[in-house]
Amino acid sequence: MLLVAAVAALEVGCRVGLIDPQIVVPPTQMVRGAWEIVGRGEGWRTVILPSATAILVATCFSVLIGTCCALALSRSRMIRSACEPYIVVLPAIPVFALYPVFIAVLGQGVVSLVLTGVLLGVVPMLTQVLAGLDSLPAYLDKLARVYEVRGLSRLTRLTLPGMAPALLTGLRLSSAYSAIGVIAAELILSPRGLGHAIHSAYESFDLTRMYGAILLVLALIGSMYVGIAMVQRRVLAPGHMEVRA
Amino acid sequence: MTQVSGAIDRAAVSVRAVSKAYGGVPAVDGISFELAPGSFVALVGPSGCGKSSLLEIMAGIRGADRGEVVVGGRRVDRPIRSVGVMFQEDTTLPWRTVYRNVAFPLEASRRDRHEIAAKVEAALRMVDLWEHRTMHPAALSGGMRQRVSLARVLATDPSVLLLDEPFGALDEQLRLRLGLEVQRICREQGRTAVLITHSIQEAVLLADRVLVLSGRPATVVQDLEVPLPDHRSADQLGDPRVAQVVAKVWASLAY
Amino acid sequence: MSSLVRGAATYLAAPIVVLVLWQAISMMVASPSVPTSTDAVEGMVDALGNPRFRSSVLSTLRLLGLSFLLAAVIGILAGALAGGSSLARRVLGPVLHLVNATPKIVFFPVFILALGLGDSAKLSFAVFHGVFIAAIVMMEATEGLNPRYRKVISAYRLRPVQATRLIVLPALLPYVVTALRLCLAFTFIGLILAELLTGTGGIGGEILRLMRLAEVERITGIVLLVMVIAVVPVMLLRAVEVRIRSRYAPNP
Repeated sequence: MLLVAAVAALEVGCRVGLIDPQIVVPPTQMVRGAWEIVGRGEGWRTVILPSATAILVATCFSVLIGTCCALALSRSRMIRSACEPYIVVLPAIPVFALYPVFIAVLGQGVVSLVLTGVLLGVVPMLTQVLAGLDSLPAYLDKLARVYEVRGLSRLTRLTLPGMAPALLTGLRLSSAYSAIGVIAAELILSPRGLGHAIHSAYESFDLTRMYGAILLVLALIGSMYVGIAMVQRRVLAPGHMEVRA
Repeated sequence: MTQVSGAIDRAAVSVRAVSKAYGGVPAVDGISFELAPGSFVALVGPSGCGKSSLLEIMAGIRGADRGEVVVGGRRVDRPIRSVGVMFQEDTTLPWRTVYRNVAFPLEASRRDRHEIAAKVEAALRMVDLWEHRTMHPAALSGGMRQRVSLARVLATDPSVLLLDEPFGALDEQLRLRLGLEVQRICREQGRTAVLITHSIQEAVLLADRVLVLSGRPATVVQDLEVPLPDHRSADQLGDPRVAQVVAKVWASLAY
Repeated sequence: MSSLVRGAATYLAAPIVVLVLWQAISMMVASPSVPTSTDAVEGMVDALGNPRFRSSVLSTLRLLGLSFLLAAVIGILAGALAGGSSLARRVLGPVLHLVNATPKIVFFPVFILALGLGDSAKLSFAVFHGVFIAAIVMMEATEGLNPRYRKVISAYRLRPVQATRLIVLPALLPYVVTALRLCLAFTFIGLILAELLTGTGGIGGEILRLMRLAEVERITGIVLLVMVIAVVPVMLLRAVEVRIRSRYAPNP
């Protein structure tokens, strides 16, 4: 509701001349800019697909690495307590500053982009899985002992399903953060992708295209987020979200 | 799991001089008793007296410091198939349906698919939950969830059932009803049951033998027969024989 | 004493392991383009010896101080006020959450368009990047204020000013520290981003310049410095936070 009102106000403000058209263009024009990118095959090939691929790959690695690190950390109390203070401050690290280092070392390319996305995406996954492991009910341990469920079987039958809500929340956050990492890196320096589209459009003062690309980024991240949230609601058993005594 | 020979094989469960201490504080001290096959035995005692420790040793999920537990001629030093355990807390898995909750231990021990299907159906029909097999635990009441746990234990076809205050978290009426149901199932199928409870009335109404344990460390202070017929019902709460045994339990607890 | 040593060992173990691993891997790769950790430290020392770079660091720190101050004050006040009134909460709450969830970085070009390439764009973007998280923490803290305190306030008939000074502020203190910590972290990230995107001045501009020159060692050293600037104050705030919280809830 509020969003619709804000968009309408922006449209009116721009049309009437309250807002400088050199700074913000009306939302309808933003949509047109987005359509000009999406509606053409060239736009898909040089703008959307490169970003989407990098985001997808970065998300996969983030989820995998985050989950494995969390499982490994939870096995040793000593290592866990040594890492704990740093895990808390991980979100404070300006990962984007590493992107220039990656470029200097690995060159400009998809590897540097993905690496930046992974470094951002791995943090929420790690913290979610750790929290999920901590909130597993104690009776799972009893069941595992009574029915002698050990090792891999225990992981796939008890541990992972038990923390499925945390895993899916981790995936949702991780994909959003990976996307932010990739787009930000593209904004800083990249020959293609959504971030590059925003950057180049801004440099050539093509505000329609710039806001169109911004809109696409927001739509991409928003739809991933909402999509995973819907899957989460669908896949999880009723009552699995609530914490039981 | 060494084979134990001798005459005691006739007992379904033998607990022999079992002791257990935690950090130097004894919880169970030299407990011994034997249970006849098909008997329903209640263990009562003050809370925190080591009943649950004893039960976990009998289940093989905790080792004893001294002594041994023998079930069906086998020494218990790890969980064995012929012993089923049911806990006080709700241990249903929220992400599995009723059916798959009951199938869990069978899947974990990699049984044949057809065998699992047959056993799960039989167990669910026993506890009258077959109609609810596709539901998730969250949609069930607390009593129904405990019946799922019961079915899960029955599906593994144990000869001995260890029940650790299985209905303790439920209200009194429900607790008694479910207790009578368990008693009926065990009697009909000739399973031996050990019930831990803090309700003396429940113990007397359900069991044909009541063992009264002392406070920490736990030792058996009284061994009482309950002179009631095999078929039990809530009507027998008013039976003078029940009142007599309850009074005797109280007297030995005061000791 | 020994507990102090053990505490220090626990704290230092993780970074030392990371540095050793880094050193080992980079030495195994043994490529001039992959800097070792000692290279990075040398690069950092080397860069700090350069007066031009020192002035860049100072300019970044100055901007950081100013933007953190603005973001923290605005965020904490706005959040606390929004949390205190149910109307404001209902109107502002969804807006704050929505903006907080959007990737703010894509809006940076708007700041440049409106304010130019100078410090004011960087400053306002850093504030924009850090203010929402502080506001949300404070809003939720005020909203979730233990109802017990309201009873105390009415039982002793405290006037609003007294109630704020004696009950509300002390009760909110742990959350203020949380808000400060997150606000500082996010503001700094926003500032570095802004500098990297404008490429003029500050540490970020310096990083971009060296990237173009492909000076791997120095750039790694500078990024290492950025990490230290980002992490150390946040860890200190975190320590303060843990201390205050443990005093508020001795037996969690």
